[in-house]
Amino acid sequence: MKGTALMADGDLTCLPARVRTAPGRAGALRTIARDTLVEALRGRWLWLAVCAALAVAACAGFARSLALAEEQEVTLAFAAPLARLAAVVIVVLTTVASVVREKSEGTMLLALAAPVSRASWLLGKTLGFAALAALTGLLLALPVLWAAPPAAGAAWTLSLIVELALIATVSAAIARVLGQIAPAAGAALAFYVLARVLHVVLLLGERAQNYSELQALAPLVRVLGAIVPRLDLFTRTDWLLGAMPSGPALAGVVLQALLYSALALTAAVLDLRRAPLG
Amino acid sequence: MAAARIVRLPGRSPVASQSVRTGTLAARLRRPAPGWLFAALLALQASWSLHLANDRALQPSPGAPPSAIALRLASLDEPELAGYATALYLQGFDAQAGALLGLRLADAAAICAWLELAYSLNPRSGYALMLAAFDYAGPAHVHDEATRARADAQPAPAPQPVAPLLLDLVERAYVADPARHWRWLAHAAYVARFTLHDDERALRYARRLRAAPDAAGVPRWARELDSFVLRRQDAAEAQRALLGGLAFGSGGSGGTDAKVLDRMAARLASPADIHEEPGNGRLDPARQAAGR
Repeated sequence: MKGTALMADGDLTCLPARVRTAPGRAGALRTIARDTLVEALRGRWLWLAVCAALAVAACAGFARSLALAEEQEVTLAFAAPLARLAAVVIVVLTTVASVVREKSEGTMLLALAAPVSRASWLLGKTLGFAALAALTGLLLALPVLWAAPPAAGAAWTLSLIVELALIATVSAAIARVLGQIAPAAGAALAFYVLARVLHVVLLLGERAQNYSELQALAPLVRVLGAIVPRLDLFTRTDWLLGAMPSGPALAGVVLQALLYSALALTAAVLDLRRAPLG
Repeated sequence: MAAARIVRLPGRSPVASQSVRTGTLAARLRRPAPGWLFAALLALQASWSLHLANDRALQPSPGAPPSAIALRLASLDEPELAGYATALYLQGFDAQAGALLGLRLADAAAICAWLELAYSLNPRSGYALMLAAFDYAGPAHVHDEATRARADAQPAPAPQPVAPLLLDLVERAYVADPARHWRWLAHAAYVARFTLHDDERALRYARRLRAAPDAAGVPRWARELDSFVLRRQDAAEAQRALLGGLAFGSGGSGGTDAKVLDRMAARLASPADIHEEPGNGRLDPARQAAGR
């Protein structure tokens, strides 16, 4: 039995059987998470991540070759943001495709027929996506770790992993609601971009207070600022360039990721209870 | 569940076969595209691209820089990336379409604005300061002199010289973060003394270095820059002293970038390049054709 990918080929009883025979709830969660990873592997996710890491290393190497000084800093200043963005795109696309495929092929309905709760099913999938995010983060961090000081590189990589886990959970929730790959991937990436730049927009808004037509938008932007996580505080490139994050700052990043992932997971559970056959 | 069975349909329907035999245009369009058509279209695309690549003219100015906030938004709030990318873009600006534009011909005021932008995005880095003090101040001074000569010949007032503005950028950066940027202020003092011949400015920079806080880690030779470098009569001798200080006397503030020292040594070896080459010292045969 090979999990969800085989189920799509016709073996429709495999996942419920595995879940049924798994030792308890933890075993079921592990099985669901492992199947999520196996499905991603069969979707060439690993190849995509390796190719992206090589492309990031090539871009950073090119920038380094142009640098007349500060070669290490230039390398990191290019490698870190590119690796971060590439990792986010890979995680969003893989997660959204997995959720939408699961919905369109009816795999989820079969799984829900097994003796696991819907929340457990979603939690297992989320753990699988978090593992996918962690592996993607580690792979994409390799070009950065090659050039970064060890402590700063470790802090940056940890932050990248929790950021990817957060965005994977949010992407999965969005994909369950929207149900189509293109709108869901677009919405998840738009959410990510918004979370990265919203504080810059707020800064612009403070400067543009004299423009009455923009003032009408100010409450909306402030509400968005309260709802959207501050991803600009995650995985900062300046950590690698001498401004090491403090312990509380790093702990705040991890806590924010946990909180927002729990929020997105709860939203997904609510959506599944509302429209389980969608 | 029964496995799906693949059913092969006949390659050509009787109607299609008849159409092909009769050779109508519709039937030909329904045929798969032949390899020669793909090769011909690829060759057409390549020739079109080559035509576009040869259709570029040297631009003397990089134009007005974008705003810092626009670059932060465009880079997803990665100011370090935006700062280095701005500096690298500016550094490569004079290499256009396979030729090198003489820096004396470039728009010095625009270059100064781009350097200000690069520094404001990434103030921890000294890259923009290096470009300002080491690479662009000399050519900007030549540009200023030419502009002043043209203005003297005409009744129009001379525009503000750009080279002092570049050095003042270094001074501002030093005031904001002496520990990081004292090296480039020392170099700016050298440029002010021996290139701009502005002794007052050079001594002002030297006084700033002398008054540096202890925590900045400015070494003794840099604090005594006026006697160690600026009072020398010969520019090459002064540059040698500066290079020696940076190479062997960086105090407790970390070593000077080896690539910077290499470039300084290369400039000492070929002083003719002082006002010309922002890059790695390699001479391009196309330089003469580009107007140097």
